[in-house]
Amino acid sequence: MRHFARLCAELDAQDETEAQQQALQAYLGRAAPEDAAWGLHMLLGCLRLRVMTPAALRAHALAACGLPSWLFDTSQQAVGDLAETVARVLPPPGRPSRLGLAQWLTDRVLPWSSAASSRPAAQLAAWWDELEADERIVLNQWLVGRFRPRVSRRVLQQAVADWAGLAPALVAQRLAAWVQAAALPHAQALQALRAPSGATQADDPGLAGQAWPFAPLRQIQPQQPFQLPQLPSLAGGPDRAQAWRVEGQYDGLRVQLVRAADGVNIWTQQAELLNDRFPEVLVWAQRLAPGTVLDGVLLVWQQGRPAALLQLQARLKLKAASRAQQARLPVRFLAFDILRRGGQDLRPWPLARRRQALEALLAAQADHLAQAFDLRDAAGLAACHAECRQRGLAGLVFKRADARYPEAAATGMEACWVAWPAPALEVDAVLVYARFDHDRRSAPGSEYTLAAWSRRPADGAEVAAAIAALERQQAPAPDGLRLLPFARLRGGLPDADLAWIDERLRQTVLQKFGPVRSVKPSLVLGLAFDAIARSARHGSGLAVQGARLLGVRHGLPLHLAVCLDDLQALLAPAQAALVADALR
Amino acid sequence: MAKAPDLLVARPQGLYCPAGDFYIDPSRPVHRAVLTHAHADHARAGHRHVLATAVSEGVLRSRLGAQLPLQGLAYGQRLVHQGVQISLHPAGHVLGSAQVRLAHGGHVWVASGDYFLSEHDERNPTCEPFEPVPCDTFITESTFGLPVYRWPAQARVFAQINAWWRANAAVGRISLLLAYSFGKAQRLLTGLDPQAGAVLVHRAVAPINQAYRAAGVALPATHTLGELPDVAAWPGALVVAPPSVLGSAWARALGEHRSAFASGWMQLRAGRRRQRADAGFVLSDHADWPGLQRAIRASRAERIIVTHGQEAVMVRWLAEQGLDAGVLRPEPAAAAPADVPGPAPADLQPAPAPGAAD
Repeated sequence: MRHFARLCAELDAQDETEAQQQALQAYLGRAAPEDAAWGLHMLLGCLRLRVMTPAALRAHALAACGLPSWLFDTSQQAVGDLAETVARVLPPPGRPSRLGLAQWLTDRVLPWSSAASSRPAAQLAAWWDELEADERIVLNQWLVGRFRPRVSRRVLQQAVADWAGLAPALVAQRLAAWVQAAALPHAQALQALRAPSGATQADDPGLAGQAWPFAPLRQIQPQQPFQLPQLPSLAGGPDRAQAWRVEGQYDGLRVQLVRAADGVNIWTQQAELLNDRFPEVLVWAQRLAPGTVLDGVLLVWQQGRPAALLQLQARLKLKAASRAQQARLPVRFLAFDILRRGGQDLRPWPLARRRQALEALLAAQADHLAQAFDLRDAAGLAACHAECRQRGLAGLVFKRADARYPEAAATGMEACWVAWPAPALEVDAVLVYARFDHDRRSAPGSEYTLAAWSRRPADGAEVAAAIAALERQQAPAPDGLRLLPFARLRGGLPDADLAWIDERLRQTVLQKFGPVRSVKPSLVLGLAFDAIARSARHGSGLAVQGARLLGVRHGLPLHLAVCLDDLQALLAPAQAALVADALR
Repeated sequence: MAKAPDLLVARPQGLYCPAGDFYIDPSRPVHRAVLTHAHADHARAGHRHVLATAVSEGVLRSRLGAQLPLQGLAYGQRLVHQGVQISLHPAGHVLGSAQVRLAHGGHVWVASGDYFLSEHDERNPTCEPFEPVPCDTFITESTFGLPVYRWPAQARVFAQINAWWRANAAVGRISLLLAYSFGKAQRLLTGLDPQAGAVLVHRAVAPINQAYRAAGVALPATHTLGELPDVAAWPGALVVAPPSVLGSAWARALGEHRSAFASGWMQLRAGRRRQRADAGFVLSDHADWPGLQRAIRASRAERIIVTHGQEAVMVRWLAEQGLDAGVLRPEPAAAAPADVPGPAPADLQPAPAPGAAD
């Protein structure tokens, strides 16, 4: 318990991945195997305890510490957390114990949580009297069901991999199997986790409902012009066997859908299970034959086409989506690869053969198949790339037709999948706010907020009047010309340009809001972005994704900057209607 | 019988003794000041006469200037000024820190200033330990006046600091220990393990160390780092510096390092998260909750006045314990005379017959 409590305190205090991993490795080396197994079990979130309500914990603590309730509550306000307040208002332990984590859980907390009967407060007070403050915090968090260690699955996987001397992907699989097994941990489980590759059943993902390591996707930077000669031949052309295939890239969440004998799992690249969040996807996947693993993306599907990623993120925030939420933001899985069929590992097969197998599998459900293109030449490719947005794609992906499913560690153009983003959307927008950070005083550039006109200005005179009203801090008329923010971003221009902008901003400050300055609208900046969607984040009801500055539009009159109608025209049709509704 | 007037009242300049016409730790320049200790929020420059402990003279002069019109007093030595008997008693906070005992008209008041006391029987090794002074009215600080503040044993904290230092040194990293230059820095120095490596100090810490050593406090050998610190000669060293260096160019010049903050505020996880250092150690020169209760009980005072921190909480808590607790009263007189400039007042005279005025 002592080691585990110290680890939790360290994880809580540390933000750095490296320091967290070191703390985890030190813990795994220090704790007894059985305790370490339980420690991992708790950090993985396998065991959800809840023995009492926070109010009951507070009542027990008040009885044990003898303080008046107002003083306890004042203390809690300073501490900010009930579990920690309870841990600290009590005197130091009178009978400190060295009982291990495993015993604490199996002999004490678990029997209590499973028994329907409640125990007398004296029991809890006696436990507190055995524990230091850090240990009490952990115990209290268990009791009220608020034990949430501040560590990501990824950091945990990496730390276990380093400690065990194994590949992170293998550890990810084994930990996922651990989570799924939902068995009580024991020392042997920890040994199995450390065993060399191939030693355990969990290493064969198809059997345990696991995902395979995901094929890496390399992005071509949107700023760099893409050189077509890098792609010598296309699959539709004469040299089919060794050529590149072109598939659509979707602005969604990459997942593997694993249909095992006993159910379906949706795995992210971070080895998170999303089963609870997307029940409609589970229902669809039940139709697949057991022993099938598909690689693909999750998307919100509206009006016959994929919606922006922001919509999927709204669904991801919901731990369990209601029927109404499912109807409003329906999620669909699109498959682009098949890794296992009928229990057979298809990853060594060339892509062309896998794609055939996938198309055969989904023959009756072609609307769950990611788009692929039969392109013959560079002209066809360029045309296809230009049409990405009309097809609801975020870009194109190049894959070698003769290549196996790429390994997680693959590098280089030939071995990987390569994504070519769709041409960026570009607009000219007005700079309205800037945020100056003290940390970056030495470097030019600050965080800029860009805005669009609420409607198309008639001419420069109308704009000048609107700005004059802004300077007088006069509220605009309901139908008056306003600037509505839609993007916030930082830098991305040469230092000289940023310094010039900063200087100009300092001369035009209107108001201060902490580190943020509102400035007199005078600068028009070119802005590129990958996607635009409805969002409550900004005043315009819109937000852009992947925004970057292109440059200062010297000489472009303010009234020619982008207006809300222009931005809405860039939205997918379904969303434009929603924004119009929201503004009405 | 009418209640005796308060011996100490609140004035805009600070704590004021109407009977003796002097201030304790005033925040503005005055003609006569008694300073409990040399921390900047208690000791300001510009007073025309200062009374403080003799042992704090070095630190006071190093912070407020060599020309400070200071009268040094030994702990326990008694003076009489306008019928008010004044003596200073150890507070255990920093070198030379004192509680001010005032006796006048049969009443004894003690203003504690900042003091260190905890439920463990331990002392700040750089100064005289807190001495309970029986009195009728006790003025206590309340910086950590909530029951969630309980200091771990000092030896344990130093073991944590030394282990942290050794772990950093093992991978060739510098350990940057952040602490106030006066008081906390020296207390940390006494607890460091001399076997773990070299100890370097920021140039804000060096003159205070010198004053401590001159006052007879044993500190380990230290090297002083300049404006551009060069630690190449001391791989794995520990650097003691004020918290303001965190993230500065000075800290970056140390190269690969880990930082830690030593303070009572590190007790709470929220406090630890709020600061940007890599680690936090719970070490305070103030009394924790049990320490405050001990000091109040030991004073045997009927009336407790709470200042500096959690006044409202402590007043209510002490009142519920049956004590007459409150905050400082403002001076009753409508027009307090302004502090007029003039020649420096003379030093105070020793009490004619020791113990007579009790």
